[in-house]
Amino acid sequence: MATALVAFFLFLVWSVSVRQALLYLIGIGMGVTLTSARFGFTTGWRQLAEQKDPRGAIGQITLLLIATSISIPLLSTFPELTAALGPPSFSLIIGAFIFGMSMQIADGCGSGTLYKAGSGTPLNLAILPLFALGSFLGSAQLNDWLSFGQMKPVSLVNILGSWETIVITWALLLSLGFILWIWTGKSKPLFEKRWIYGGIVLALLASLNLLVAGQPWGVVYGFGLWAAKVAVSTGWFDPAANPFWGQSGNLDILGQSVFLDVTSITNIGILAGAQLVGLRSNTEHQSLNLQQWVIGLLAGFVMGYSSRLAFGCNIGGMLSGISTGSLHGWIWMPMAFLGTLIGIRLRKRYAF
Amino acid sequence: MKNKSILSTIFWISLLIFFTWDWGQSKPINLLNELPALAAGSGQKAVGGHCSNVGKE
Repeated sequence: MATALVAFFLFLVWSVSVRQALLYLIGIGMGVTLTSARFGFTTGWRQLAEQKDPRGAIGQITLLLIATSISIPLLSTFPELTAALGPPSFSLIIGAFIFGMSMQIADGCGSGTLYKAGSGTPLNLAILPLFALGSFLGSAQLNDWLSFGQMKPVSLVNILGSWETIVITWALLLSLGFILWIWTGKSKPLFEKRWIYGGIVLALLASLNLLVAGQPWGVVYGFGLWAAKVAVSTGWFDPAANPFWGQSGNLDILGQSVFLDVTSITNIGILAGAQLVGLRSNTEHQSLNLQQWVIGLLAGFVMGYSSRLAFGCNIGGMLSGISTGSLHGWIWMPMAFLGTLIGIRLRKRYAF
Repeated sequence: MKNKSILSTIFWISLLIFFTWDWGQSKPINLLNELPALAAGSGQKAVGGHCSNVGKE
């Protein structure tokens, strides 16, 4: 396995670009960290809501605190880097809510589905192609959803300034941590080594991604691209006639190899890194009945579709949005958490 | 365990087939136009697709 990973790295250096090879390595680091720390956004939120266990949420707050502290100064120093600025919109509100709900049923968000598929979890392996299909259809219909109402993307950095945005982001995140500490009863442990280690390493890798790629870490664009390529090649989808895929940037990316796409290459790295760790573990997975399989796969499709409406999953929407000063990340988080509360009930209803 | 292994093998083979097909049908990569290894400090704006991308307004 290690030989295959090295061979692919050398192929990228030789035939694609050094930048894409570096991003592939960053992706492997992400996959190894997500899998070895079992850093699941879905699980963290479920443990918080069901058991009043704040450890996963505190790990995610740590990730956001560090990523913000590095990303915003990077964006200020290097004007060629771009933030993840999604527009506050009806599409974002409904998309984040449905994403939060479906990720609980599918037992994995964007990054969670990737690392669980990479490490061989059967449901997530089967979900991935449907996630890609949903992501493609969501992007193809995004303009229709935006017509229900949207604002221009709001950059807190542009409005308030870099340091002010960092201070406000820290204040909001620390307040959230304090509220969790009070709500969970103070006696429960706030920290667990794996969550904190995962949060710190992922924040460093997300910042490296920004430095190398010039844009924040994302997951779902790459999947939508893969499905779009298949749809175009079969002839039933004309990208030039579509408001999203007809944009010159997206049309160019459609014509290029996926190895040139930033999001695709980190996704491939995450799958490979997760496989590397997964091969060394003998985790037993819950066996599912036919109804659970059907519902799980449907949830995976809905998750892909809604992630495009929400301008990203937990990574592209929440982590990258908040850590680069976009207001849409702060709308994404509570809406997805509300959806999660419904998703947990549905998950129980179908005995996952 | 056996089913997991079969599903995992099908997944990786499908992915490999997809990448091979995509490599064959995409525009050849012009290495002379290669972007700098690091975007930061390169002076060139990032042009990659991202989840926060919006369609035409």
